[in-house]
Amino acid sequence: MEVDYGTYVFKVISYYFWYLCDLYVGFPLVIQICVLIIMLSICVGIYLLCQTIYLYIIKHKERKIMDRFVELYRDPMIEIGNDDVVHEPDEIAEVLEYDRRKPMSLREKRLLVQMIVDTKTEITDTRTDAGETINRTNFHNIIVAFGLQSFFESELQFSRTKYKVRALTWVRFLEENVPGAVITPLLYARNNDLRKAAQATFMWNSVVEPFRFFDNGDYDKYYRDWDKIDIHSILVNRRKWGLPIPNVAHWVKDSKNEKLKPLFASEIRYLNKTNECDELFDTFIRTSNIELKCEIACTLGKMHHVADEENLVDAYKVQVEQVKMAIINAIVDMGTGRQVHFLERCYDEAGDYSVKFAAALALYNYGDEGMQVFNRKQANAGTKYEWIFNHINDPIINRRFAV
Amino acid sequence: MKDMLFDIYGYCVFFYSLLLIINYTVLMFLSFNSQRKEKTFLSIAYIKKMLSNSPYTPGVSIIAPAYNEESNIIDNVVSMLSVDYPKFEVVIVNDGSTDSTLEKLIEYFSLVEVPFAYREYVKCAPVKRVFKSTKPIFEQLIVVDKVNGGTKADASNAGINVARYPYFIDTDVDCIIDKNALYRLVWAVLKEKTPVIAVSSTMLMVNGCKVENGRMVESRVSKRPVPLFQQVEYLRSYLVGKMGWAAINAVNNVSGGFGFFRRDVVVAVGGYDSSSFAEDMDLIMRMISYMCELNQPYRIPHVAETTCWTEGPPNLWALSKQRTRWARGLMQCMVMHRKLLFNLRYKRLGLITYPYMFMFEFIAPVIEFIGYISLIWFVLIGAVNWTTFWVILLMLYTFNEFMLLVICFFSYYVEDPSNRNSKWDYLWLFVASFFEPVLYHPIIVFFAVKGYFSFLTKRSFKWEDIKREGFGKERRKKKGEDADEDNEPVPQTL
Repeated sequence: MEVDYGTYVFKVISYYFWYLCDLYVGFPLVIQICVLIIMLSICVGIYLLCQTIYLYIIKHKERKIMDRFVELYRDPMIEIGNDDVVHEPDEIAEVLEYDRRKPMSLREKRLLVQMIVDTKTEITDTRTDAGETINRTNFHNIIVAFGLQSFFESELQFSRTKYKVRALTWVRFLEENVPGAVITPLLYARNNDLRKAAQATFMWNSVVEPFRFFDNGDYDKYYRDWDKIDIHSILVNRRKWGLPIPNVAHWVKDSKNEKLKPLFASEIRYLNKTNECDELFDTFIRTSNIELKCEIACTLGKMHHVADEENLVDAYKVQVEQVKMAIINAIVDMGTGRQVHFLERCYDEAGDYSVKFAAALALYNYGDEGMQVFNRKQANAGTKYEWIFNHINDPIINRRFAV
Repeated sequence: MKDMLFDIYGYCVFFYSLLLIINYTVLMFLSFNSQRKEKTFLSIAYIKKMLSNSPYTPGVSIIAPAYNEESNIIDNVVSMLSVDYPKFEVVIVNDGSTDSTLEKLIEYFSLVEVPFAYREYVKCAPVKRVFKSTKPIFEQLIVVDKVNGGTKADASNAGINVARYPYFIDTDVDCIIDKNALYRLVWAVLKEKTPVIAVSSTMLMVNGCKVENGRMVESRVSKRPVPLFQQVEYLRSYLVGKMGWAAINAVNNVSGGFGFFRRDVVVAVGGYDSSSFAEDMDLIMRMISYMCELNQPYRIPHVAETTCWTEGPPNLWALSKQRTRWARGLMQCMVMHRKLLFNLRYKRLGLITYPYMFMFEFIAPVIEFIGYISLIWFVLIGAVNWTTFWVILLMLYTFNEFMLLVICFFSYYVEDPSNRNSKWDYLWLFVASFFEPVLYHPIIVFFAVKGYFSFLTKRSFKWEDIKREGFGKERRKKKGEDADEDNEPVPQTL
């Protein structure tokens, strides 16, 4: 008769538990509790010791595999990545002496991808410092040579959540493509990390409604500051690869999450979307979100949207200090030279130290006319505000105030 | 009657210990859960790449007060400036050093006095001068020269006034910062949905480690008894205690030796309290109270990976100074923040953290001290039930060793090479953990009680410099160096 293993283990444990109980029946409660704790500590301790040894062996093995990969592939990969000539996958497999008939285990493939990621980072850093770029086609062909595209797909379909998340980030890191059909099932996963990573990868390279998550509010549900960095990199990447970038101005108005609105307002300037600035000032007036107001003012300034210069000046008085400073900076960025009196008034009327400082700095950076006013203000500053001018005038500190 | 009193006393002590064991067990579970949940699936290379290329990467100011650090100041500042992060500055606060600390800085980094628009956001002793380097490669360095305020807290406040980024790290000038530390800490902030006001992270002892040019080359445990015992305490405190508390967002302290804070919240609560003996714990309590009073959500996560190595007291004399001060600080905090106890308004802090600290960190040394005295007395009068005594001792020992196994497992689980010591190091830790309850712990209890006594008798406390040995070979030869005394207070129980 076949015995169920679970039942067997349970019976053994029960036997020893009751044996122990029987052994200590009649002893004081203190002794009984102590014995129980001792037994539990020993049992769980032995289990943990085995787990630690197991982890040690696994890590040791992985280190050895990694070392082997580094020894075999690192240098040829660097050479191929740096080479301006495009190499075909077959050629690369030959150079790397990779035998495609001998399959790698899943663990080996994960470590190989990690090694490729590390090597690519290393080359990218070196070449960026030298003002050059790596040969992306060759790196893509390395992935093809090792057959890692199908590995990514199988990771995304069949592995555990943590490996799926990792595979999604690898895909983006290595600038690879994964079929939309593989990612689609993950777009509404219950696990936040997985859902976010899948949606980000989908937006990264898809051409079929890639940004629908912003429209239906799916992306907003679990918003964190990391998403700013993620969304920015997605948009920049799409622009780099010539993929369509949506109109982000309507998300500044309609996004369900207030925290996303300032992000899209700033993305307009990072993506240099001049034609999307027209409606921003309306949002500036209507919103009570201070961060959004600041970002809009900053974007209008950086985009030299002179049409709203007067509007910003008119709106200045009724804003909080943070927004006032953003407006002052925006006026300087627009650089029309028409608002010297406004900046002077800002300086004179400022009740807050930070605004006064920002206004003085703005005058300093506002052309010859601004500088003249700056010098006049400095001469009349007296001991009370002299330090503001000394600070701004100092060539060493001024390096960090360069506008 | 006498026997009954003995019995009641014995039972009280036993069940108190039992409660402590239950607490640690719960913390271990929470810690494991937290590590499993917090463990990032993104490689550090990916996080680095994203943060390096983003305009949204938050800036971090590293504030390091220095007092009479002439022998190692240059190496340490160079080490800090070489931290790998795209947007940071290093603010060194010369707290009225009487040696040539400032002169060495001026000479090496080509510093010149600048008319810095200094503004006192938080209270500190007067700032005399601010220096910047004429060399653009040291652009991130800013040196503040101030009148000695007597405490590290006062110097840190001056640094907070000068810092320009939204987050700052408060550290000691002789701490060794891991090259990826800032990425790990910033990631801990950015990945949270709830606003993060501070981040705690694992700190280990530099004693015994191999350090070259201010960089950690090999993380090892010290073979000398005092630092070795402290290493066991540190590992337990961070990997079980802090990680466990972080799981329920109830971290009670972010180390003064290496703490990551949100600047606006720190400024809003008035910065560090210069009169506090545990300024780091006091600051966190005020920050949490502030967020609770405003009914704002907050989070204080813990980074399991080692981000910093600090030099612990190398001998009993230095340890005595440190622990006495911590005990005073703890008592001061308990008294100052007594309104938090079971106060619903302060949520976890009032209902979990503060009562726990009161019961198991503040009261524990007193109970243990009474326990030691009464044990000696019982032995003398022959009132000890030796069977029970040995069984209880065996239980405590077994649990103690079990805790060390848990720590070893955790340090492997977090997959942090710097956390992972060699096999022989673990053996040393086991040896230390075996002798800790009988050799080290009674001494710690005595220092804590001494600290409480000096606080209650209002004895004046002089902020004496603890003589440290340094972590480089060259430094070992030199004597009379001052170093920080503001490392993380570790729980004194168990």
